[in-house]
Amino acid sequence: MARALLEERGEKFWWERAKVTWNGTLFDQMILKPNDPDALPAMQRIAKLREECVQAYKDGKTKLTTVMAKIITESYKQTEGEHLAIRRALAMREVFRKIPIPLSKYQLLAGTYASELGVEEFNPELTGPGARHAFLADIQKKNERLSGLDTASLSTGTFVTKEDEKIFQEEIYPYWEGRTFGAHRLREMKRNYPETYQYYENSNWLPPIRGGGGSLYHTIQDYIFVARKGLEGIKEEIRKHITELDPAHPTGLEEFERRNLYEAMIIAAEGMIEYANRCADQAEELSKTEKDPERARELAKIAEICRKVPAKPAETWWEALQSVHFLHMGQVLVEQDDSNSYGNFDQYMYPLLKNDLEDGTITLKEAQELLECFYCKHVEARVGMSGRGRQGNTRITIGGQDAAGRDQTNLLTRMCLEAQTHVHLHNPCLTFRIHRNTSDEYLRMALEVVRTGGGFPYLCSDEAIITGLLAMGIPLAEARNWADCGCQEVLLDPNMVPGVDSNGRTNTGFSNGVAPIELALWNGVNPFNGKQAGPKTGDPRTFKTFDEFKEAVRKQLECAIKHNVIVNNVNEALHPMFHPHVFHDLMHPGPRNTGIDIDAGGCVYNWAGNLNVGTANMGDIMTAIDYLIYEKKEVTWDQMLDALKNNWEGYEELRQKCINAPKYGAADPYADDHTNEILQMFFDIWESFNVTRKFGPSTNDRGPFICGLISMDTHMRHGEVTGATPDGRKAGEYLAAACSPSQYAPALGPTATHISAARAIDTAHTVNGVIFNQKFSPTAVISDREVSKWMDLVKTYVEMGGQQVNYNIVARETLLEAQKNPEKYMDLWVRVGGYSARFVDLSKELQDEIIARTEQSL
Amino acid sequence: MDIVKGVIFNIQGYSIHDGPGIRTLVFLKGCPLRCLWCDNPESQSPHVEVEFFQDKCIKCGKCLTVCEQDAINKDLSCKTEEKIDRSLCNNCLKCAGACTTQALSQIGEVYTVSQLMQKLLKDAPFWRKSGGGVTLSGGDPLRQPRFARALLQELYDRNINTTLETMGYAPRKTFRSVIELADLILFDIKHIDDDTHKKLTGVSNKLILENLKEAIKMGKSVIIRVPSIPTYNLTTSNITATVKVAKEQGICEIHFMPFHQLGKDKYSRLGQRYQLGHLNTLSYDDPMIKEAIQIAQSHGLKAQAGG
Repeated sequence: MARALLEERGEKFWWERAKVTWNGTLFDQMILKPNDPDALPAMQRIAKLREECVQAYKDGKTKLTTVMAKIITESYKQTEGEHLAIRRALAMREVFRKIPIPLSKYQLLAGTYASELGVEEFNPELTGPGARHAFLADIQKKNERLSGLDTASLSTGTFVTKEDEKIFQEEIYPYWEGRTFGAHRLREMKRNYPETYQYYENSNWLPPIRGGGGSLYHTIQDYIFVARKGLEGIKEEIRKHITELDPAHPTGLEEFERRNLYEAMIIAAEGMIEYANRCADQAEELSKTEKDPERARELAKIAEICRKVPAKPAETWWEALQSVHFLHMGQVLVEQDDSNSYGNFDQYMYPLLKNDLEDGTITLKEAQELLECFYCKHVEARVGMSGRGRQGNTRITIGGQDAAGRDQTNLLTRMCLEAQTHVHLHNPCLTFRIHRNTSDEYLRMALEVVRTGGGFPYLCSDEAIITGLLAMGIPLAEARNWADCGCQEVLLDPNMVPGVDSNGRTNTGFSNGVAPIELALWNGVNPFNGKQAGPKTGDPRTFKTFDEFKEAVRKQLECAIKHNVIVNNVNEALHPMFHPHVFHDLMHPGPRNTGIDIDAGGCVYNWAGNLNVGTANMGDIMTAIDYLIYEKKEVTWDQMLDALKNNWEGYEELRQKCINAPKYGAADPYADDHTNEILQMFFDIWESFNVTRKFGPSTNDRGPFICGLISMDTHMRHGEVTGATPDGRKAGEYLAAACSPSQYAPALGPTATHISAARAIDTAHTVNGVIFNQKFSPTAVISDREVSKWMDLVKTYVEMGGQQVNYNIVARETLLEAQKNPEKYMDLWVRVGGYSARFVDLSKELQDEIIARTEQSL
Repeated sequence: MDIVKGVIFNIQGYSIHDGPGIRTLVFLKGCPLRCLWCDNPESQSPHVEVEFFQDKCIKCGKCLTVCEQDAINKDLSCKTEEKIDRSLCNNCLKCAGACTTQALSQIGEVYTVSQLMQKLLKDAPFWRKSGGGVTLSGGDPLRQPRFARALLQELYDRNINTTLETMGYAPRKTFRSVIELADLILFDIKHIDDDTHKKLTGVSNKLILENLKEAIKMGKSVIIRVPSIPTYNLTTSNITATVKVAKEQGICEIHFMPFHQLGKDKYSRLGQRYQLGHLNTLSYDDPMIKEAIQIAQSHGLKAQAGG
């Protein structure tokens, strides 16, 4: 079908169809070029693989299947009474033994994240955030009894067949009722922490704790060490740890727990090896009947490699890619979580590539083709969260430095950029690190890739992130080996420093930063439901100074954050108690060596990360209150509160004053400083709490809570339940996304937004991530000279302290979409012939003209 | 000594097509020319004035109550261009001050050099990194010569690269006093034939062409800019004549700015009539633009579409 599709389109590659700018330094050096006859077969293979993936997501709906859920459920039914870690491991092994293995006829790598291409599996044990909810929520509508299993509904991106629904209702749900992570948590919260439970019910801070649950998202495994040692070698290591335990002279009860976890890891490893052997069997079978001799040879080779890795050490580029893929895919499948990222891939994989190239095992073109096959693997099936679509956030970090601060860009860095342009899908995601020794050439190539659209690679500043890690107390050499994970959460990369891993539990929930401020406006009462959600912090009308209001906000924030911390700490306590992360433990050196689960503190460094939503609104609300009520005295609290209560109806004049008050995003120090201060308050409170897990190799200190300013799409959900706010926003309107200015900020162009982001956000406190998304018109970055200026924009932002930026080069389709839904595109800038404006502010006629121009200039 | 003040109608960061590096554009209000294709009609008057955005108006009628000149249309639903009777309006700005939604909005703000510098310097890190600086544009900065000179002096003292975009229509002494401090001059030439020039812009080009020579004599770096309007000045004969003048003066670079309609909406907001609504926008690679570039190149000039 894919072939037919491509041919129907005249065998055009995506970039030809999309007419993106396809030239520059990277393009001149490309390994696979369409006009090179030697490269064409590889490029066609990738195009077909890509097309298969696009097809699978064509209608935006993915089939949610019960294949794996059924295997797991059956396994659990047979292992009643066993130790929990062993039960989980046995269920994982059953999945590896039984799940069907789809193999695309174009692929060179075997093993995938589901039982069919393009579908989504789910693990009923961990029912939690994401697309899995859709299934459960759909059924729940028909059967209220299911509410103990899972209720949160985030996604509309999946569908369920009648047969699957029947299997779920009859075989899966009855077993799992009351036994899922969500059920454990619900009971625990209601019984032991009723105050916290109630806070979540009454406030808009986070959705209520009625279901939810989940896996451990956002991790970086030490792929390269496991791949180079082989799982058999790893098993030996674990066995050695077991022999070191002396049950005749135990040091404590936990030794008996550790032994079980070690045994469980071995079972999981054996399951993974069996899966690889099944892949080998399958490829071997296929090679015997394959008519195309070339493909038969490929299948035989796939079989040979799967027979070897991940059990034995990977020794070649192909073996390493296959082994790393198995380890990633295996973990994602059985742990069912997203954002499992690769770390500094270009650094740790390069030696294997270099060897192969030097001894002639492989040509550069073959190496690139394999790398792109590896990329395509990440869109074969959908896993985890990914509320609005597809498999999410497997991040590859490139362009970094070593522990001594030396630039580590290499041939593979460029190959990863090239693969990104050719494959150009939502996953894997790419992050390019910028540091003081980043070469102009690599930064240029990175921006040339960004120019093709899609937003990748993200550009992240080592300076900002390493400063934040140092402030947390992480040694410099280890901080320099950070890697990006998920959206932009930061972890230490165990592929770089042997044995030094981190569990950053980077998502304590996307919390609504505006909600506590709103509670401070109403003396702790949530206007959305009329309930006394937060503490009584006083009627603002009695506040004589802005500081008094700030104090009320502080108390509301302290309350919200404390409850959030409790929920997080209960979450991490419940996992080792009920659902030990056996495969994570196998793949993380800390847990693997100590026999302590990743959520029980097995990693060397541990912390937890908040994700704040509504950053710009928080700053703008504080700004407007100080500016209009206290400084200019143009507005009284009475007027403000009346207007908010009435959702501005009859108060348009006041609303306009609020809209025209200084705003974050306009390089206005007044607003930027207010934003900085409210964020600082927020950071201070979060950082005053701690997790149960320890921080560092030789300490008993507990890890901290850190912050991130990331919203994904939750700014919509949170906005919908947030009333009118003093920044001029109406009730129900979306909050500002991540670190973007609000839709009410004056549009002064990119230098202003970059200045504001750098000034308002103290990146020493945002190790859990910053997403600063900028939309650019393609007409601003066509020529090499324009790209050079763009590089200077990025570098200046980084020098000013900026942590992250990603540029979306706006396609013609986006402009058309913005015409239809202007409210979603308030930050869309266009620039034509020295005239620049917010796109949505222009008349229809002018918009059409710009759309026409965009097309021409592409 | 009185402090010189200027009227600025826009400041635009991340300008990448008006001189080297990343630049901040300062638009000085006031222009001696009235080009038919002008895309910044709000730049023409040197004074602060009011424009009207129909879509932002909430029809509260506040403007009516504050206007002492009786210049605001009683019909709150009137057409954009009929909102203010410009013959009665004295630009007192009371209506703009009263308007809460900025539907009536002030064009132009009065600045001292130091006030303006405070705003501009926010962008300094971007200039320094990229080899950029500040570009004075308009209108025509020559319309506010004392302020333009004072601003250029301040930028010069701070070692900030400056570009000046001008039509060159000012007495020689004034012209010299302003341009001598600028690092690069973007010199607009609208038409070589004097009669046509008068028809298209309202003024003769004699002074302009003399000042062009003067700039060269002063040793300034000059790039010629031609707003390229099909049938009006984007003709083979005019382009050839323009290129020849440039060549004679030893100028090496010329930019053809393709005609666009992006100023169209502004006319009605100012209560003015726009005359070139019938023309089509030109793309950067329109054959007419390509031909112009070719003519320039055949005379040995570096030529490009756009800045």
